[in-house]
Amino acid sequence: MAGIRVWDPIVRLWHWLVAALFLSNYWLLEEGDPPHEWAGYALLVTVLTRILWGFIGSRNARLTSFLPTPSRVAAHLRDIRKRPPLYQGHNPLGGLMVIFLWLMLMLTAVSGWLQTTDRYWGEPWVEQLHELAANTVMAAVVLHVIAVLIMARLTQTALVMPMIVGYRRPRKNTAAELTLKSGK
Amino acid sequence: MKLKQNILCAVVLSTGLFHGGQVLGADCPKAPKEQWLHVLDMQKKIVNEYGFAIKRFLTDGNCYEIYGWGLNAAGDRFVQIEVYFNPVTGEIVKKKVKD
Repeated sequence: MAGIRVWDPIVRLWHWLVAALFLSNYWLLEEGDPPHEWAGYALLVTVLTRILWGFIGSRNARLTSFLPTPSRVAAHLRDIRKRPPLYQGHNPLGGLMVIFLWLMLMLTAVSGWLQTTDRYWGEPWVEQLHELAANTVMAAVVLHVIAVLIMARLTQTALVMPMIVGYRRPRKNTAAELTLKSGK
Repeated sequence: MKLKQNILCAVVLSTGLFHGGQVLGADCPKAPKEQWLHVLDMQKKIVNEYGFAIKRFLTDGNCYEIYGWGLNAAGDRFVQIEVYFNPVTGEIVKKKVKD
């Protein structure tokens, strides 16, 4: 079926891997037990390889296409009040969210690992840091989902399906499709 | 505006997704502080009777708690342990061994 390619298979698989690993660690797997630890290490590897993919992956996967530079974010915020701007991949605020999530997920994983070392075992500040980082990720996930739903509606664009199947149908408003920002 | 209501609704619903700080922990019977073992007696018991090394000693709710090291199940290696004690009797209430 004809459609507009949005996310490559690596981006999609990694996205859902991160979601599954984080949520199972947050809700299901008992803290400190080996499954929790292994899920955390797998999560760290997933994030690191995704960052690598940000240099060599398809266009929308690349950091260069969505790096939230202050000028891009400012322009986006200006646009959003007039009419919602259209982007092929992440918009600048979305890019900001991606990078924030990566940093917080890495902080969660590393502070979790630290507690397995004898030196930091039982250290209150490491424990609190781990909890704070995990709760921050959870809050960011909620914000991420809400933002996706809002932007999908404002821009009349399917945003959820592309993350599952990779492509989306052209927007009904084809003129809007033509003025699409490449993100470059 | 419907969108605003939806967002509010989503935010309220999503607060249920979070779990508050201390999920772990143990239940020790509530007892007046006078009945609690002195900290030093508790620590002597932990080291001499249970054979644990203490990294951190604290009071958690109605329990004494330690982070430390103890022998694993096979008895051939010291591993990280987290143990909760009844502060009146000094009995182990909950023990997590990272075997």
